[in-house]
Amino acid sequence: MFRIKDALRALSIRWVISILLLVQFTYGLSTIAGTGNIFFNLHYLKINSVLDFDSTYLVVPGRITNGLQDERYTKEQVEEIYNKLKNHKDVISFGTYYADNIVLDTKTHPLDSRLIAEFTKTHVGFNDPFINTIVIDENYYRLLNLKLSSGHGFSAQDFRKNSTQEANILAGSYFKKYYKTGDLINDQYRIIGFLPDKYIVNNNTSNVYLKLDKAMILPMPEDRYNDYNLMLSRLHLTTILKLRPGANLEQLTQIIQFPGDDVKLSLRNLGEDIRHNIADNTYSEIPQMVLGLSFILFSVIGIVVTTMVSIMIRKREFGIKLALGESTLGIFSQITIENVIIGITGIGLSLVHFMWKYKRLLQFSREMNLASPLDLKMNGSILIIIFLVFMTIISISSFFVYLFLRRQELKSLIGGME
Amino acid sequence: MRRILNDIWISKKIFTMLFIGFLLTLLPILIALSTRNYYDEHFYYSINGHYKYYYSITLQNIKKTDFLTLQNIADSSFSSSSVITKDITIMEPEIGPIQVVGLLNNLWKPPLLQGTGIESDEANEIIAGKLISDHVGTMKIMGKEYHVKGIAGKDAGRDLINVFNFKMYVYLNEIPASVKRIFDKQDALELLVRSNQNPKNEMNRFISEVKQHDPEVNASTDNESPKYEAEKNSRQGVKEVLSYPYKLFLMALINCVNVSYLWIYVKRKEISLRKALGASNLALFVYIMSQLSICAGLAAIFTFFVQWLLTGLNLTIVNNTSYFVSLNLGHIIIGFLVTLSIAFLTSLVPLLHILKIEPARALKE
Amino acid sequence: MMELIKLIDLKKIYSHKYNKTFALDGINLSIKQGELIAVMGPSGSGKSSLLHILGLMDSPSEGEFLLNGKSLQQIKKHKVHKTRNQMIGFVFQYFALLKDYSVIDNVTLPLMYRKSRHKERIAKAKLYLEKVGLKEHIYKKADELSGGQQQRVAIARALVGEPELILADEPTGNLDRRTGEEIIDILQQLNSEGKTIVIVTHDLEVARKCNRIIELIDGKIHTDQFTKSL
Repeated sequence: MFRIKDALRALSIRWVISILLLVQFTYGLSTIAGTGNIFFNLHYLKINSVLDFDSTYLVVPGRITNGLQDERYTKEQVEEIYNKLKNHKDVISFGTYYADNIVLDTKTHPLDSRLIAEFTKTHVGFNDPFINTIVIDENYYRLLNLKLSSGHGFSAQDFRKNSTQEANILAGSYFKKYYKTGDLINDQYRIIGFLPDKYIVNNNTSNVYLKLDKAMILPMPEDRYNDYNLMLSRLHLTTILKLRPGANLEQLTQIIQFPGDDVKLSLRNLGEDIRHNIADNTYSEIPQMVLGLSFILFSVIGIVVTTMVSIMIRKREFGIKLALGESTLGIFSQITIENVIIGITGIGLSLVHFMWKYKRLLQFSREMNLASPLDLKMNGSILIIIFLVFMTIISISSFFVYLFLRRQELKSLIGGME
Repeated sequence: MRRILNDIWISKKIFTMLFIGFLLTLLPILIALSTRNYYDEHFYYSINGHYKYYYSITLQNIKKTDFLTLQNIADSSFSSSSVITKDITIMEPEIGPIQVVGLLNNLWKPPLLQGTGIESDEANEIIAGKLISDHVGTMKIMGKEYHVKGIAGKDAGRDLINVFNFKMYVYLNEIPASVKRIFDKQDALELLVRSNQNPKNEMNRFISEVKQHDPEVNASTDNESPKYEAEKNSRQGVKEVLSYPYKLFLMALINCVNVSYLWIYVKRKEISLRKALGASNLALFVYIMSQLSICAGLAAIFTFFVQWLLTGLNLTIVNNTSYFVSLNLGHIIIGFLVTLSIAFLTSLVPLLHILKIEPARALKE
Repeated sequence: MMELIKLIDLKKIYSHKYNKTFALDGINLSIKQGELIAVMGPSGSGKSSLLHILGLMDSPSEGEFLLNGKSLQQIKKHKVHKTRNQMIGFVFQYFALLKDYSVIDNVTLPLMYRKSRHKERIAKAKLYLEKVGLKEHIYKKADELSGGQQQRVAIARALVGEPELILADEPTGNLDRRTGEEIIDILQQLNSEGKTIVIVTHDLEVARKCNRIIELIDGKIHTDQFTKSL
C-alpha cells in the first residue's frame, strides 16, 4: 500500500509528463482497440464459417434490378435448371434460402426484458423485437451438414409443412439462456436444437454474414418452396452450391443462366470472397497498425525516458531508501507501479474514448450481430488484446529501466543525498 | 556550427530518438496534408469543379423560355463564371442511376480520360462517365441517341474515378426529355454559378435578361459556398482517415518532448556551468534550439525524401490504405514551418528547465 | 568485548585505463561492540570509501570484510540490503530525510522494508522519537523542522531498526556548535547504552569525545589510538 501511495506522490510531482504519457496511452490503446477488433473479426471470418470455404459457391447476379422479369420464364424452366444442377457431375449438392425476420410476440407471451432489449434494433426504426432468421430448403439443410445429434435436427417432414403450421426451428446458442428444446416461440416455432456459434451467408451479394448465435434457422415451408416468384428470386439471389474441386464453372454458369436474361449470373467461391475481403481489410489496416506499433515504440521510449529522468531526480530519495534497507528490486517495483498506474489509467481512458468515438457503430454492431470486419465490440477478447499490448509495453520498458537502475551504483545514489 | 554538430554527436543516442520522433511527427503531417488535398480535390470533382464562389439561381415559371434561349442568355451574361444545372439523377434500366449535369456555357468541362469536349452548337453530344460508356461512340440514353464525345474521369485512384463514373454532361438544350419533364414537374430550374471572381454582377445581368425575355419568370439566388464548405468538413470517412496521422503526430510530438526532457536533465550540469560562466538564458535557449532545429531539419529533409519515394506508389497506397502521398512546393513549405514549430515546442521543456537551473546548484549534485 | 567488524588487508581500487587509484590500501581494522570511533583524515584520504564499505554500500576490491564473524562474500548479493537494514543505521551530514514525508513516516521507513506491522512500526518510532526529544513533532513534515531537530529525526530513524552499528557521516557538519554538541551528546548516550558507533568527522572536538580515533591518509591507517577505555 505504501508503494502505491509513494507512486501516486511521485506521479503528482511529475504531473506534466504523466499527463503526456496518459494522452499517449489513451490514443494508443484506443487505436489498438480498433485494430484489435478488425483483426479479431478477420480471424473470426477465417475460422467460423458454417459453410466450407473451398467447395461452397454462391450464385451472384451481375446487378440488382428493380424486379425480375418473371413473365418471360416458367416454373418448369426453373425446375429444369435445378434438375440439371442435380445431375451435373461437378455438383455435390445445392440449396436455396431466404432471409426473414421473425417479430417476437411480446403481447400474448411476456418475455424477459433482457431478451426484448437484445432483439430490439432501434437503429432500423422498428420498435418491436425481431430475430434474424434464415429459411432453408431441404437440399440446403443437407448441404449445411450441421452434425446435430439425433432428434435435434430437421427431418424430411419439417419441409412438408406450410407457412401457417407450427414449425420446428434451430436456435442460436444465445437462446439457451431463455429457452430449452421443446419450447415454443410465438406459439409457432418449436426449438428442437441449438446452432453452433458460427456464421452463415444471409445475402449472396454482400460480404457481411449473419452470426448464428442470436439467429434462427427455419425449414422452408412447402408453399414458399413451390411459389414460382420466390423460386425465381431464390435462383437469382440466394442459391448455394457445393462443388467438387476443379468444377467446370463456365458450364455451370451457363446452366443457371436463363436464355435472354439481361441479369448475368455468376458463381463466386465463398472462400475466395472471404479471403479477398480479409486481404483488403488487412491492407486498409496498415495505417492503424503503423499507428499501433508507433504507439508501442513511443510508449516504451516515453516510459523509459521519463523513468530515467525520474530516477535521476529522485537519486536522493532512492539513495536514502536503499541505505535504510530497501532493495534494488524494491525500487524497481516502486517505479514499475508508477508506470502501471499510468498504464491502467490509460486503459480506462482509452476504453472510454473508444466507446465514445464509436458509440453508434458499437450499437449498430450489437444490434445487427453480423460477421464483418467492422463488427466493433468491446468484449473480453478485445480487453485481453489491450491488456497484452499494455503488458508488452510495461515489460519492454521495465526491462530497459531495470538495466538502467542496475547500472546505478548505490554509493552514487547515496552521493545524491548530499 | 562545428561545435553544435559536435554537441549533437556527443548526445547521439538522445538525438537518434529525437530524430525518429521528428520523422514520425512530420511524415504523418505531410501524409495528412496530401490526403486532405486528395479528398478535397475528390470533393470538388464531385461538385463539378473547384471555385471560390458558388451561387445558385432558381428560376421558376420558365414555361415560355426554351432551354436554347436560356443557354444563349447565359453565354452572353457570364464571361468569367461557369454555369451548370444541379445534378439530376435519372434511372436508366440498362445502366442504373445516371447523374445528369446540364451545361449552360463553355467555361468549364470535366476532366477527360479519352475523347474531346462537347460544343454547344453541335447536336446530341455528351460527355459520359466510365460506367455509362467506356468508349466514345453513339449510345441511347432515355430513348435518345447521343454521341459520346468524351469519357469523363480522373486517373488518380479508385475513388476519384468513381466520382465521374455515372455522370453525364450535356448542353442544356440537348438534355433528355425525362430530365426536362422533371424540371417541368418541379416548375423550377436550379442553376449553379461558379467563379473565382465575385459573380454577383454577372448573375444580376443574367436574371434581368431572362426577365426581359419573359417578365413572368421568378428568380431567386442563394450563396452555396457555406453549404459546400459544411458538407466538405462533415465527411466522417475523411475525418476518420485523417484522425490517424494526427494521432501519430501527437504521440510522436509527446515523445520528442519526453526525450528533450531527458536530454536537458542529462545536460543540467553543463548548462549550470555555462550559466556560472556567464551565459544568459536567451543564449542557452538559442544553443538548445539550434541543436533541436538542426535535428528537426535533418528529419524534415529525410521525411521529404521518404515522401518523394512514396509518391511513385501513391495510387497503390491510396487503393490499399485510403491515404494519398504526394509532394509539392506547398507541402515542403508547410513541412518546414511544422519542423520549426516542433523544434520550438520541443525546446520549451528545456527552456523552462534552463530558467530554473541555478548556476551552482547542479554542479553540487 | 565481541568483535563486530574485522577488516583484513582491505583494498578499494579504482582503475582508469592505465591508472590505478588506491582509495583504500591495505586496511586492517577491528571494531568491537560498544566502541565509539572517530574516523578522521583529509579529503581523498579514503574516509568515504571506508564508510561505504562498512555500510555495505560498496564492496572491497581485495581483502576480507567480516561482519559479526561472517565474511561479506557469504552474504548473497540480493540479501545485502536485508543485512544493511537489520545491522546498520545511518546518520548523514545533510540528515537525508525525505522532505515530503512526515517525521513519523521518515522514522518508520527502515521497519517498512522489514515488513513490520503498522502498529509495531508506529510504537517503535514514537519510542525513539521520544528518546531524541521530538515526540511533539511527529506529524510535521521533515523540512518544517530546524537543522538540529532534523538530525535528531535521522538519529531516531537510525535507531528504530535497532541495528548493531551506527555509521555517522559528519553528523555535526551542517549544524551550529551548540546543536552539534547536543547531537554528539545523544550519540555518546547511545554508546553508553551499548551501541557501536563510527563517526566520520573533520571536527577534532567531536573526535575527542570518542573512545578511539582512527586517522586515514592516502587510503592507509596512519594512526589508530584509544583515547578512553571502554
